[in-house]
Amino acid sequence: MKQGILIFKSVVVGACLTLLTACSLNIPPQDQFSDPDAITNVSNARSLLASAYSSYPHQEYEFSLLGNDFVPTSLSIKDISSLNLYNWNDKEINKLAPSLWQDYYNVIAQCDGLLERMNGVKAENENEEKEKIVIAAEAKTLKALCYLQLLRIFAPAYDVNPDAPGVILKSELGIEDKQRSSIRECVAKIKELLTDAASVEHSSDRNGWLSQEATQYLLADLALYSNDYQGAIDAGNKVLSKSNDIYFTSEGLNSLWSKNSYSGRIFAFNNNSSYYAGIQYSSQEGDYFMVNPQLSFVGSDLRKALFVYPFMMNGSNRELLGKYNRCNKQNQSTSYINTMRYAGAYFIVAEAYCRKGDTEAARRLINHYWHCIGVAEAPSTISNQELLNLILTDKQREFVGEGVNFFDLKRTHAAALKRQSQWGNSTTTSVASDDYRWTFPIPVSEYRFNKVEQNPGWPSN
Amino acid sequence: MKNLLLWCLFTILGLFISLQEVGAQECRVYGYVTDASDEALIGVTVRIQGTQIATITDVNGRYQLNGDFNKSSVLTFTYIGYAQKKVNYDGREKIDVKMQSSENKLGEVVVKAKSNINAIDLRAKAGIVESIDMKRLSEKPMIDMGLALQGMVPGLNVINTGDIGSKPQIRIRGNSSFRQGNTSNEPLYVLDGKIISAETFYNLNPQDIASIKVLKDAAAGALYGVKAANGVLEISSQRGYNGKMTLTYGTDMGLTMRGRRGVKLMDTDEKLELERLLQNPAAPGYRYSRDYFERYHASDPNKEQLITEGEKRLEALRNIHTDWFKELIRNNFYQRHNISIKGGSGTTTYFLSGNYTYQGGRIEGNNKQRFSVRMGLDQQLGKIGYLMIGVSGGYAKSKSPNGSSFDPTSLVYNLNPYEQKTGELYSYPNRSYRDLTQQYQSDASDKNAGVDINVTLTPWQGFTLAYVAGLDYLQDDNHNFTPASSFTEQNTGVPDNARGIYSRMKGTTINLSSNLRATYNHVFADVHDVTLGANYDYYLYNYDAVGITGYGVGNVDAPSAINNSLHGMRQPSVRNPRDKNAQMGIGVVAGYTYNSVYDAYFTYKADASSILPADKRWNTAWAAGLGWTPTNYSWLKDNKVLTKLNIKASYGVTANLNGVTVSNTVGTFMFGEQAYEESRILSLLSLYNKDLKAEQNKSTDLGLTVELFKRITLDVNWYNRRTEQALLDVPIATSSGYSSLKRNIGILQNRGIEIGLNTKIIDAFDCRLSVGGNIAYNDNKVVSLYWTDKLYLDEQSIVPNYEVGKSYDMIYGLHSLGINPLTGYPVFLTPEGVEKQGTEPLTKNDFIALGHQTPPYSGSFYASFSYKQFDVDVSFYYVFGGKQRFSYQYVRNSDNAIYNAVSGQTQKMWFKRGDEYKEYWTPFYTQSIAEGNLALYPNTRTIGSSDYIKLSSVSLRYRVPSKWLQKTIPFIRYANLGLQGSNLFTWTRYKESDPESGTLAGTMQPIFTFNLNLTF
Repeated sequence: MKQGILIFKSVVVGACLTLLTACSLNIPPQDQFSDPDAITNVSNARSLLASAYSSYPHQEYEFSLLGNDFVPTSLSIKDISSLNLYNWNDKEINKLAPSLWQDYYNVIAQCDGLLERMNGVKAENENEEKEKIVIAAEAKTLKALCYLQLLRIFAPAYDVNPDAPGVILKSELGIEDKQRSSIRECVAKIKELLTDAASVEHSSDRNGWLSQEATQYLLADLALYSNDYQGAIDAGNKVLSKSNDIYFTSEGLNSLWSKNSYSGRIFAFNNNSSYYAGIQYSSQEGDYFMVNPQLSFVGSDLRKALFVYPFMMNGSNRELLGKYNRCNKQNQSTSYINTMRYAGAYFIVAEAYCRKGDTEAARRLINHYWHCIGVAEAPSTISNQELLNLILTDKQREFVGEGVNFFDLKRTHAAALKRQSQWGNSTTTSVASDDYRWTFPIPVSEYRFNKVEQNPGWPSN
Repeated sequence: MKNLLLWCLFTILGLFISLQEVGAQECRVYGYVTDASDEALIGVTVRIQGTQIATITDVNGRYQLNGDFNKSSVLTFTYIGYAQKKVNYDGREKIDVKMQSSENKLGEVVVKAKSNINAIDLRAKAGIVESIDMKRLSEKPMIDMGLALQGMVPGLNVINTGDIGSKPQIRIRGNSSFRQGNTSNEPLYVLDGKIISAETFYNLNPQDIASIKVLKDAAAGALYGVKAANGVLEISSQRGYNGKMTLTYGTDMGLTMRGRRGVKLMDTDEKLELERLLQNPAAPGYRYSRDYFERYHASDPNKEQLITEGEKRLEALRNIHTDWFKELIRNNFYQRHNISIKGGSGTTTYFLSGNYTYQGGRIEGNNKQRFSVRMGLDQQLGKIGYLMIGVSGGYAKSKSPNGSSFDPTSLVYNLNPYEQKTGELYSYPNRSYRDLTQQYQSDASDKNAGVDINVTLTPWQGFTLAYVAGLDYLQDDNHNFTPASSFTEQNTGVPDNARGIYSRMKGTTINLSSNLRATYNHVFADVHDVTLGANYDYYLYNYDAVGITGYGVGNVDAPSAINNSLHGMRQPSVRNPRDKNAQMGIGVVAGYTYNSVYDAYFTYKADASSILPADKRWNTAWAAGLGWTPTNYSWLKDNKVLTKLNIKASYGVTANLNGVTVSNTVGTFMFGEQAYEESRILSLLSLYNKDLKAEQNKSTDLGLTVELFKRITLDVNWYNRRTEQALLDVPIATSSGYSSLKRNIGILQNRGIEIGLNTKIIDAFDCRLSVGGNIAYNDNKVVSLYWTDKLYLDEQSIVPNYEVGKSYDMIYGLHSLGINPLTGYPVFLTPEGVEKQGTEPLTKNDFIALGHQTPPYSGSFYASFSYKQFDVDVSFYYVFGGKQRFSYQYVRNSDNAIYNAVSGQTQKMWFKRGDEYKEYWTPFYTQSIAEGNLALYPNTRTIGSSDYIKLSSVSLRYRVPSKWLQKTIPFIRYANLGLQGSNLFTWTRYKESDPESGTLAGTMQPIFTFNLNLTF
């Protein structure tokens, strides 16, 4: 009996103790992936890169307002903050700067996060091995694109002082207390990233991924930015070798604003939400801003039908912006935001030739483009400066509303920027070419938590 | 209403007095049951041997019996783990009994079982454990358990946050973290040894609960490990008893009242005059006034005629006097039905109960109801064990018409007295009254089920093995609906086929806990009482939810009506948040008592959590304590004056991980709903901090208990809790790509003292009077911020959110000297004594501390009186020392002149140059810096003291004499009737809305009920 009780007791105690072994703490997060098991296959790496692409900020409208693309309409007064931005109001620029800064750095952070994890990505076969290399190259190009944008926004023009503070060059994902590197160092870093990526041969039939050609385009753009004209010509010509005159027909131009991938684009951000809706007040009454009348497209210009949108406002026919705005007005969705196309390469290389003094090469090149799209060609007698002006003006026309002009004006800093009254009837004020506002303020968070040097002219309290 | 209550009262009184005569001749006895160390024993069965006359001791260990017995009768006292005690009834009215823990005396194995297995006796010797007065709690007619706890125990702060159904804020000794919100600061809720969710706790039925213990310090909560970093509420459910089955039915029927009016608003005449002064043509008071026509129709030949017509329209408005408070805020109903059965025989006892409660809200469409059942079965397992099984289920549903974009309560303050439910509204142009209500509805329901099994085995003498496993299952369902006919859907440019929003989220939460404890206790040489123990626990949390939001449902409140063809912003979406984590802990405990005089206690617990990477998974909690009870010295033992004196001190360190998730410490990615080039988007959830450490709560506690004449008890507790490595999401340089990061940022300190005094002034069988009160004081400050001395959580802010050496819930603002008669804006006095105009930009140096947001002092006091069959109990709750900012929402400026305004504004407002001694600044937006200063920062004239005293509960009860019952209604054994009330009245100097929640919707409703309790 006593034996029995003892056995019973021991069994009960033992049974209770076995309960201990039933538990484990290795519980993976349920709908999430955590390191080190998160980015281990090529498909997840691609998905993370997709997230970086989709986080890229699109402030093309805001930069078009700041540049010389638009003039106010009778409706501008109904969108005070856009009008203030058009008039280069400090407060408005101060509001825009922090979000740009953080958004570009967020894309950089995601690229860094991806690149740091690429070693852990296992490729199952040769195709995946190749895809893995392509992903890394794309991440570097995307990072380079962000740095270039940051540099253009937050640092003065290259030729003013290449040793002036540029932007912060991150070395890893996370907080670092790094200060701003000089513009020269930044350019070197961007070039290094792009050269690295350019060595990987790849292309995609989808416009949303940065191909080898897009890397070349960026190299050309960077070279032009840093006054390396031969570099711009070399890289730009590599891009132009892939160009086809079929892209410069009515149909070709039309495809730039279509929903599908198109070989005439070098790179365009894929987009699923509404885009450029902010310019329109209402479909009946019109837009807040219209295309600067100084940019009038000639009748034979094939671009005219697509780039502007004629609309009756206040009893007159006004040229509103076409492009995405036209799509919105016609209820077509925009799935690509054009970022690089062959026309851009023509302008980069032509300008580089011009600046190098090779007027004839510049004229020959740009005339080819102008011939295709129905714009009067430059005569052989044209002077270097006249040709340069023609190229820059037409570049502005080409990229109207795409936020390019602001950066060209800042880079060339040749003349004051005029701000116009309604319909562009008169000049209200002008922004000097050396105004402090061309260089955006460093955001409060950056100088408050990282003690980074503020750009001249902006408060830092 | 008052008359009705009085009438009820007198009728009941009359009835009772006539009954009084009948129940006179019977024997009676009462007394207190304690253990060897004079601690009250709760739930001891006291019985007159051989009869059915029995009762159970209450929270104070008191029993009271009356009935047909005589001097030869024997009283038996039985309690688990104690030797049965028999006492001869000798005619004395008061018999106090001390029960002995049986193993010491008889040498036989006796099982001591407790439903909360961590509630070992040892713990209370060094830690601070306080019990809630369950009698008062269950007499408080309130649907929400959390809110009903307000004022019950000093240092347990409960703050109401909104209308009924919204979650209260429950804190033990203040916020232990810089982080705000319930996730990081809420205590742990444990019911019968199993961890339950806060929602399950809020919906518990007070009648099903035997005791609630509040574990305040590290020493008390150490066995729960890191989970107890914010303290523990340990709940034990009612169990059966050994005796004849009793069936109890209780009901409360009553009314909920409108509550405090908050701000008094203008009546028609004053409002129309104000409108005239504010000169906003949208308001009729100006639009139809002579002023308006003189200004805008100065050269109109028909001017006089227009003025006359205008006057006519104004006259029509002057005849309307709508009190929107009365129209919109309503009285409602409260009801509760409770039925319970308990009993048992020999080795088995049981308890069963069912409960239904309904509380109607202050505004239409706001209410809460719940239904719950509970079953407890206890079984003796031979001579060595005890088994307890508990099963519970519940359903709770709350409804609210308050949406994120629209709050009907605000209508009370916005609608004008000259407006009616029909016709034109000036306050909401182009909308009718119908367009303002029935705009939105939301309801939330919780269904919970729980089961727990508790086995206690004592295979060898002194050795106890206890195991509890519990499952708490909660299903919550949130449903929101905005009909297509609502004003916002109609008027915000949403296309016809996309109008109407339907959203629903269904989630399940599973809390699984398992806890095994082994303790060995032995007394050497009669004086050395040694206890050694170890425990092992495992806790699993699993949350899984599915939610849908769809558009275009029209007026159909169903998911089938969702328009699936929509794209863009109104595309239907599906969410599936899931979370699963587990914690495992191993602990040891050791205790030593010398001759019942000296106590020493030590506990160590290591906890591992699955949410942290394997290398930093383990965190520890340990505590050590000492106790001294001089009254147990033999020379003091039976002292009549000083009946108890106990001093204890403890120190403990507990890690806190609440609110930390995997994504805070390692890179964590999640797929989004969007795609990029047909590739799904996998994004990093947040920036992670590889160096993140758990918060360390270090607390020092001192406690003193003095009892005099067995009548007066004084408890004083002092604590100092330092939170090191305090966590907070702090802003970081955005070149990281992110704007915030969870970091260990500093050290904060909570210090305080809690004093409780309870006195039994009269304690006789027929007549009892006890009064008492308590007060708690909490003081907090930032001791250090590791890498800075000031921390700003917002880029724009001038005043830091946290500053070394300052309290962390301080409101900073400006010293106002009043309104400048010239500008209409205030003049501020800087701390240097310089006057600064409100129109000037401010700097950090202009600010001063205006006061604490959370009142540092809180407490309660009560009086409880019984005479013969009557019981009266009144309790008050108070807070003081806090400040609350006025929202100034009802002081209207020219722009919002169309809304009703606070009464007296016409006199108190600055309208023109030269207006002196005004309280409100100019209604005309004349200077943007001044408007910004006033909108962003409070000043000495725009905050008010949030002190208040609340009559938190009143109960008047009558126990029907059992003799009379036996004669007239023999199947009823006990009956009592009562009038009860909760939150009846609030006295406060706070001029605006509600001093507690600071919101208009938040005022707690006063509730009156009639209560009936019958035991069969």
